[in-house]
Formats: sequence, structure tokens, C-alpha cells
Amino acid sequence: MMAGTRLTPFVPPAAEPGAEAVSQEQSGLTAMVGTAGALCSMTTIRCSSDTAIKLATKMAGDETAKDPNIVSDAMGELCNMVAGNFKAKLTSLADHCMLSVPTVTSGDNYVMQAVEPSEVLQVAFNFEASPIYISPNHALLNAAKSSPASRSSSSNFTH
Amino acid sequence: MRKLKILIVDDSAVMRKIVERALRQTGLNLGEGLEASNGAEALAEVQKGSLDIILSDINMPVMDGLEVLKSLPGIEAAKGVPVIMITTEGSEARVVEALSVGAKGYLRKPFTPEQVKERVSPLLVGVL
Repeated sequence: MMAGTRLTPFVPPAAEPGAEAVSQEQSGLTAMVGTAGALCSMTTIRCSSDTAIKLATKMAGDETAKDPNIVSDAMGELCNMVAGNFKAKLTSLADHCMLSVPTVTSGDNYVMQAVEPSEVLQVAFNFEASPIYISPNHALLNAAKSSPASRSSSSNFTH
Repeated sequence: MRKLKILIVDDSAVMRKIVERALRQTGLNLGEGLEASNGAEALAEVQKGSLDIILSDINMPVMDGLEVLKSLPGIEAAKGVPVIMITTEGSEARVVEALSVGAKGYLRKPFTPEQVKERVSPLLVGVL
């Protein structure tokens, strides 16, 4: 909505027979917003640098989107909105956890890894023929095992 | 008809642009957009006077939106200036607190220009 576009599910092209497995290393930008309190987790949005510039252009306008600070700002705000709305849907948690300020990492061949063991749900969306990977809650399933409040929210999440 | 003087307060430059663009899409007769990136800057703008409305994010560094709201009654130039809070979080407690200390409404991100118009226009009836 803020980028004036509607995302559809991203379907990756079928791998060629005998092709090598896709590397877990990432390139481009990853925006992160942490949740602390009744639920401890990390929401991330990842895409290529070109896709991030396109998104920022849609949000901020042509004149500013080539500024790397504006691109990071736009990605951080998008991630903030995803994390905030995710939290809002977990009614038992909305008033019991807080969001961190957004952080944006950019570069080539980096790997995001949680220190604590966690299960990662990742959803890929198609934005102008390029994928945007959204992970609404890196540690949700892990947190759900340890907190009564999180248990109920986990149930909401799966529906 | 005079142009409206609106202050947009958000630590994200992108969000300030989005809010301003949404306001301009409502058809309101906006003057130059005034901006602040935190509560302290916002209060400095408020002191200058003649604002018609303030739209402020809640979560900001230096001074957040709730602190701004609590400071406004002590500023003569802020008297009668409505404030709409903008929030990403789903915390009803924060929204209730904002309304209890003087906010006239709130917008939850993401929002549409129509939602901005719904919140802003009724507060400017006496001005337009």
C-alpha cells in the first residue's frame, strides 16, 4: 500500500536437471526489526539492491530514491510496518511487546543466522518480476515453546 | 483561501514524504510542508506558531510523539492545534494513552490517502 503496489506470490523458476543447490549466501539489502517482550523475534525483508531502489522510488519518489540512505530508510519502514502489523494481529501480545528501530544490512555474500536455534518462516513475493523475501518472525516457533502468551499467538499465526 | 500549515513529524524521511503526498492527494490546500524528525524538532516548529494541524509518529528517537503531546499544553502557540498520531504498532495501550493526553485521532501504517482525509478533514472544518 505504501509502495502503491500489490504483491503476488513469487514462484521461482524450475531448476535445471543437475543444477547445483542454491546457496544460502545473500546479496542486496536485508531490513530487520526486532520484537522484545512477551515475544522475542526478528522480522526481516530481503531483496536485491535494484529491487530495493525500485521500492524506495515508489515510496519516496524519483528524486530521492537513488540516495542509499533513502533506500535503507524505505526498506526499514517497510519492515517496521510488517513487524508492527504482525504484532497487532497477535491480540494477546500487542500490548506486551515492543519493536526495535529498524536496521538495514547491505552487501554481498552474507548470511543471516540466529544465535538461538529457531525455525524460520519465509514467504517470497513477486515485485516487478523480482523476489522480495519476508520472514515475519524468525523465532516465533521457538518462542512459542517457552511462553504461554506466545503459545496462543502461535495458534493465531497458523490460521 | 489561505494555505494550510501542517507539521509532519517522523524520524523516517520516506514516511514524511508519504504523509505529505497523501495529504496533497486529499485535495487540501496545503502550503509548504513543515517537517521534523523527532519530538524536540517538532516542539521548536510549534513554538514558531500558526500551525493548523500536526501529524506525528509515536516512536521516534530523542523525544517520542507521546512526550510531544504532553508538552504541547505548555506552549501558547500550540493552543487549539489538533494532533493526529501515526503508529505502526498494534498497541492499543499506546493509542489510548495518546488519545488521553490530547491526540484528536490516529492513523495506523500503512494507510491510504482516503484514511488520511477521513482523519484530517473534520479537524480543519473551522480553518477551511
